[in-house]
Amino acid sequence: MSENGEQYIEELANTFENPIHARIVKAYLKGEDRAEKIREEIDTILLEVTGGH
Amino acid sequence: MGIKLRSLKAAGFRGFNEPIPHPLEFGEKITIIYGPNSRGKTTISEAIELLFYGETERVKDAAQKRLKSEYERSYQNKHYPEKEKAYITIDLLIDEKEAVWKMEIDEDENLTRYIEGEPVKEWPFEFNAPNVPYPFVLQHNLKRLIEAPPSERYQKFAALLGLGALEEIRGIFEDTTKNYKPPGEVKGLLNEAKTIEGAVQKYKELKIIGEAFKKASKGVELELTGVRAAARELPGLKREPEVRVIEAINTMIETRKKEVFEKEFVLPEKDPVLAANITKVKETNERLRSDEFKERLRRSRELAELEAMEEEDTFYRVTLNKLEKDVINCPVCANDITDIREEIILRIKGRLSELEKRKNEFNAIKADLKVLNTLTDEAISNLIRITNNAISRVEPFVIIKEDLNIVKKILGEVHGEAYEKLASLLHFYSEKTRNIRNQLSQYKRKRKAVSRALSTGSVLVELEPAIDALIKISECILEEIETLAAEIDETDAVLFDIKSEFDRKLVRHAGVEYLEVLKTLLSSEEKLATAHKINKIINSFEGLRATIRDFVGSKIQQKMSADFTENITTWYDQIKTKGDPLVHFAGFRVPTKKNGGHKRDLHILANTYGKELPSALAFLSESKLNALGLCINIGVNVQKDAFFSFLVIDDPIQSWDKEHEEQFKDVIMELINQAKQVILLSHNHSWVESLRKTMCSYNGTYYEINGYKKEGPVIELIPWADWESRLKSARAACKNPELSKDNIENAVASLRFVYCDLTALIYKKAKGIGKRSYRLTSEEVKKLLLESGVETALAERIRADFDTISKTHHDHPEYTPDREQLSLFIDHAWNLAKYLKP
Repeated sequence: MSENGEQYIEELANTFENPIHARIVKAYLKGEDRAEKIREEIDTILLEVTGGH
Repeated sequence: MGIKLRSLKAAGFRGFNEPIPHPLEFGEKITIIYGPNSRGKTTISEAIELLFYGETERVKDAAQKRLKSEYERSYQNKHYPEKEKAYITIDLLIDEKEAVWKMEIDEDENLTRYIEGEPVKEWPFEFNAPNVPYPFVLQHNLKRLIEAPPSERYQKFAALLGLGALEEIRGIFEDTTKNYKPPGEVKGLLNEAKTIEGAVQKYKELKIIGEAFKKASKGVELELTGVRAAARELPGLKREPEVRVIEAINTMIETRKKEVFEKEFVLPEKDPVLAANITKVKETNERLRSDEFKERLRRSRELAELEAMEEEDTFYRVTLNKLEKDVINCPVCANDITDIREEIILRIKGRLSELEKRKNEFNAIKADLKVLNTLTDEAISNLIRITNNAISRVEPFVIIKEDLNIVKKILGEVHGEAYEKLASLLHFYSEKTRNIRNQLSQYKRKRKAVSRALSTGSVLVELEPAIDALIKISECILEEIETLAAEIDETDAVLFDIKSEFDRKLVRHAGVEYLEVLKTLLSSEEKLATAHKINKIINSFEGLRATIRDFVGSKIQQKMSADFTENITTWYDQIKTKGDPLVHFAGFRVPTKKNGGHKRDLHILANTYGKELPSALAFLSESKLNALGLCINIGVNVQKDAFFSFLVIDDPIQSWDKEHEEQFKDVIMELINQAKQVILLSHNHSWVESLRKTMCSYNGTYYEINGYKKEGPVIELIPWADWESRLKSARAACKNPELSKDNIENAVASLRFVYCDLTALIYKKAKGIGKRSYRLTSEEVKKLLLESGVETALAERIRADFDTISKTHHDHPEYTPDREQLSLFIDHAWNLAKYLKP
């Protein structure tokens, strides 16, 4: 991950009013397999919403 | 960070078969390599490219076009010995510090990297990072960038501008959110909600509910109050309070179903503890059948003597009692027994003692019989419990056999096969339960007799066969129960499907499908609300993507419209031809959409006499497009944070007109003035000559590729300029008051080459021996001049000048370019040149 990319993500995350969108965007920084990390974050968000259904 | 090239060595790589005889040394400011086409110029630029990037643009491009297989093993020279590894070694200056980087290429094109001879996994810098400009201006790449479709061009420019990270971000979010698949648990919930919502819209009776539901779904949260209110408007539910709506719906459903089919379709149930209970009964049966048990039974027959023995005991006790009172006459026959009385008493007592002993034995047998009775009781009660349990698990199912005709009607012809299966199973279960019940009755009867015999000790002779018969019946019952249980297991799934189908059909026959849907809808409020939230999140991904696209678009637009366009325009203006129609590059534009977002397209603009043209591509000439491509590449590389301080330019002026050729010389000089080390490769000899002449004072390095052999290209190092041209150029610089500090510095530095060339020529004239002038040091210069007969004072001055110039060369902090000093150096050089005169 280039330094530039990290700065862009921080800046981009701040443009979202929707906290869920900001959270998804920040998942980009969570690891090398970024696509997988984003998918995992979305999964987590949705499972949190289902709350055990 | 700044990386410059000092020298290159290579062997076995593409055109280089044998090792290059001498390393190619690169000039600090400029190196020109001239060679006709196909003589190995590109091999040199690709060697540098492969070392840094591990792949050349040519191969990368082939891979993108799916032609990579055509380029397999193209790095290694075919004449190179198979067992030896090809290599490329480059001496570098990294932030002015020397470093030696080497790359070995094996026959499978595996690359091994070394720094100062030590193997390393990767280079210490990320050259492929999106924000590092690519320091190679390759002819075949120039137009490809411009002529790419607008969307592809957009991506290429983003990469060129170091905004590749942004494009990567956009691409990953587009891909992950567009193709997102929720986890199984979430997907199941969404499907369930979708089915319920779909069903509501299906029934005309629920039209009012459907409309209320649509309204409830419009907000951020799902609000079912309206749906519940609408439900209470339906016939049959009007008077129900809200809390009882679901209960009332259930009652309506059940009532209507009973009108169609009164009985309940209950599936046979499995007994989870059946196996354990059967084992218990079997174990008891085994005990009843054991030899020990039978031996006890046999002994119990002796109890038949017990009655006679008790009578005898009573008789003797009465007699003894009387004998002890009446001492003369016998209490039985009344004879005088005076003489034998004592003996009789003694005998009676002996017999009574025997009888007492025997009675004790019988008591033990009686106790044994009690145990046996308990054992059989236990076996019996276990069996009865298992049997009743087995029957009770099947009976509720079997009961519908009486109404099979109604079941058939409900299932309908479509499910004829299911009906046949159901009928046959009902028959089977019914037969089995009947058999079991009959056997159990038989068992109960036998058991009563046995139990009575055991408790009273009567009919003991028949007890053993009676118990055997009891065990047999018990085993038959157990077998029947096991068969029944196995059948329940085997037909469980089939019966479940038939029942599900029957229940569905029954709901339809009863006309209460819509009530079932309504009940599900009202009892799934929480699930529906959750599914609604999840759908809102998933649907919001489009907005997320749009925001990211706009963010990336605006960043690229910012970069394009400001500094970068200005930068490109500055370079482009330098090679702008003046005589042709005024049709020129006029900047870049990322078009916007109607809704205000940015498109992922990049348009290159052109104008003519102040009027904007639709596209640069359609209106700029071939030559201008090439020039623009070159300027874009240069513009990117001279950005403040560029990683590499060198720029390799491979054959830049193909298809250019004379005016462009001339103007491009200024571009090269400007690059050098901006601290770029230029490596220029060209096939155009006359242009190269003219360039060297123009840049005479720049002290570059010049190579000519004069031929090509099996060993590789024949590369010759040629002096940048002869001493006379250099001196004239220095003199001109000295006289030009407008010349910059850099130009004066270049002119001073060129005097060192003049001293070296003149020294080598004077020595050759005096001694007849040739010397390599570019390798001479100040001390060597002085020594050779003295040996050639040059007066000591002049030789000493030249050495001192040489040392001063070296300070210029190494950018010594104490040195500042001095026009007067330059003039003095020029005079010393002319004095030295006099020794060449015949």
